[in-house]
Amino acid sequence: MKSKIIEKHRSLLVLSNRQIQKNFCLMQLECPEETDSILPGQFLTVVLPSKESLIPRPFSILDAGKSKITIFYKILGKGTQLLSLIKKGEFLKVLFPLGNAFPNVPVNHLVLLSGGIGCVPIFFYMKRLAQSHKTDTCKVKVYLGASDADHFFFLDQMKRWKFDISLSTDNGSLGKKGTCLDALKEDMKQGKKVSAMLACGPYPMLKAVAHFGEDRRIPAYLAMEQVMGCGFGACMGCAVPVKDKKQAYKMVCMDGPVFESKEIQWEPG
Amino acid sequence: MKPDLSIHIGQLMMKNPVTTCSGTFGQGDIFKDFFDINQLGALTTKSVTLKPKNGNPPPRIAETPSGYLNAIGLANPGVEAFIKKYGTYFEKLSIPVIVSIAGTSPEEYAEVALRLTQRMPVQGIEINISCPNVRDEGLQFAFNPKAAASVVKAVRKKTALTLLIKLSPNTDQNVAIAKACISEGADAICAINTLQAMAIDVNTRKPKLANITGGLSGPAVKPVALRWVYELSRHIRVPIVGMGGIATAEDALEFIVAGATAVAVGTANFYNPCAVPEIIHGMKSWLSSRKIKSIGLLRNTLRTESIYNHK
Ligand SMILES: Cc1cc2nc3c(=O)[nH]c(=O)nc-3n(C[C@H](O)[C@H](O)[C@H](O)COP(=O)(O)OP(=O)(O)OC[C@H]3O[C@@H](n4cnc5c(N)ncnc54)[C@H](O)[C@@H]3O)c2cc1C
Ligand SMILES: Cc1cc2nc3c(=O)[nH]c(=O)nc-3n(C[C@H](O)[C@H](O)[C@H](O)COP(=O)(O)O)c2cc1C
Ligand code: FES
Repeated sequence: MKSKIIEKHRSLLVLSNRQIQKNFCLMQLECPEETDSILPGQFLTVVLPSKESLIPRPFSILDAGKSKITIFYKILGKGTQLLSLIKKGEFLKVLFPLGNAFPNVPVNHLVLLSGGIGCVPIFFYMKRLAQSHKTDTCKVKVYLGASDADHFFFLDQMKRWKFDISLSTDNGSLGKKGTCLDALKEDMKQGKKVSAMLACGPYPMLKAVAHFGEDRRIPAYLAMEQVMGCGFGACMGCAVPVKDKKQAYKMVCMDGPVFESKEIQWEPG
Repeated sequence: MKPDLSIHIGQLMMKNPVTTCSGTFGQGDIFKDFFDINQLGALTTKSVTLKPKNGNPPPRIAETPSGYLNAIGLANPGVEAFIKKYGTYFEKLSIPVIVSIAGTSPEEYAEVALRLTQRMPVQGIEINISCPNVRDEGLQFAFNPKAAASVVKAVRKKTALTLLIKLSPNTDQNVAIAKACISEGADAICAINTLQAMAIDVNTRKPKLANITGGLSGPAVKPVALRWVYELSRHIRVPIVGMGGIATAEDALEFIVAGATAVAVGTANFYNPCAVPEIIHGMKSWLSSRKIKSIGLLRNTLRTESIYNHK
């Protein structure tokens, strides 16, 4: 699904930027223009206030509406470190909304899967679902995975939306031990039906979800990442291998970031 | 006062001296959401080859201090798909279009040039002999005057369009290469392409690019590019299109002072999609605030005298 791209470089006012947990930051930007048309799965890029780090950094949109855009990011390297130092009241050059979005699939027996920081677009999707559906009866189930109990984010908000939520951790410190996909598999053994999966998380997780979906003939839509040079289709940098007779690669920023799992070439060809 | 920015390169009439670096501006179409492409002096497109090319596996991009490292690998749809897709689009533009071409043999370059000349509204052809990211393509021609000239000769036989030849910074042969290419009919010299380079993640001990090595661009390479333009301008008479790290109007004007007739903006487009109109506007105001009537008056005006030179 493609929304109209408001491709303009804009200086947005930083309303807040704080670490809500060690190395995880929430940043709110003021956006006087239309934000309701921004869709879950879409991303923005931020130009860092640095003459040395030039590449704009891409981040999924966590929330948009009421003249505000929110992102949630993990401090990884130089760029995100710099970003974490930005103060309320400063301006940032931002380009958005970029990319396609998660499709609107029938909600009956829909499954959302998130691993780690992959919760960002999943959270946004849940919010939009909660605005348009009765979440306690619509049979959407959300599987959240994290390394440990301390790395689930926005859980209280998600619970307020009354989704059926399953938690799993790598070390078993909260919820089930294992991955979010393990948890889904277990539920399916108990008879759970699944109509489609939307997923975001690290590459190995997305690959496992894709293979699982193909085995069970369940459509899966995955929000993918790739190192980007521009974010809007100019550099051909953000290639992801695809199963396509016409082209070996698609571009995450233009053709994605959401791909149907069967499009992706997972094994080196 | 409105300074005159117009220049010409061969038969190309440009209303201002600013074009785009091949491979950094798509085919121009993507940038229409940012500004009117017709503001450019000329549009230069991504290198196109005879057959489609997939390009290199990812990651294709890495960041280095004030620079971009890339190994795209000349990903392009091939000349046939290119003509089909962009023919009518180019026709609607009011500015000259320069198509960059690449290949593995002089015959291949010539064939691509022929098809473009016959079937596309194109005004110039830029011969890319200098892409560092494909093992078989081009580079063999970038380091050797005879080999480079053989490409120009083959292409010149098939087209009367303005021919530009794009040089690599990864050789000390560029003056000889430029001269050999001019004698075979090249109308202008473009300098420079990217610098061969690499980046390593020490924690994983992996190269940051899947291709291991790549090409460096952006502000980090500007001093290297400037020196090449200066060096070439002292030895050749045809116009030089200067490129490498240009991000501001001052950057662009430095290249003109060093001897360039025109300039191209590349990597800056990625982090500032409005870089080109900003640079054109900035050049205009710089000239008018100093009451310099035309851009030509600034060309090749490097002042090398020194107050300490008492010889
Ligand atoms: C569409 C998309 C959405 C994203 N959404 C989020 C998000 O919501 N929250 C979040 O924390 N992160 C997100 N990321 C990842 C984020 O862009 C990178 O973590 C960030 O750019 C790293 O910058 P750095 O300078 O701190 O790290 P660097 O030191 O540059 O690199 C650290 C690591 O991050 C990888 N990386 C660098 N640049 C990128 C890039 N442009 N894309 C992907 N990986 C990269 C590097 O390969 C390296 O392994 C997203 C990436 C994409 C492509
Ligand atoms: C991502 C990327 C792709 C490029 N692709 C091409 C290409 O297809 N053909 C070419 O002649 N040069 C290509 N170049 C080189 C540029 O045209 C230019 O010569 C070089 O990047 C220096 O200028 P800059 O620092 O302003 O980018 C590419 C550069 C980059 C960064
Ligand atoms: S990031 Fe440049 S094309 Fe996708």
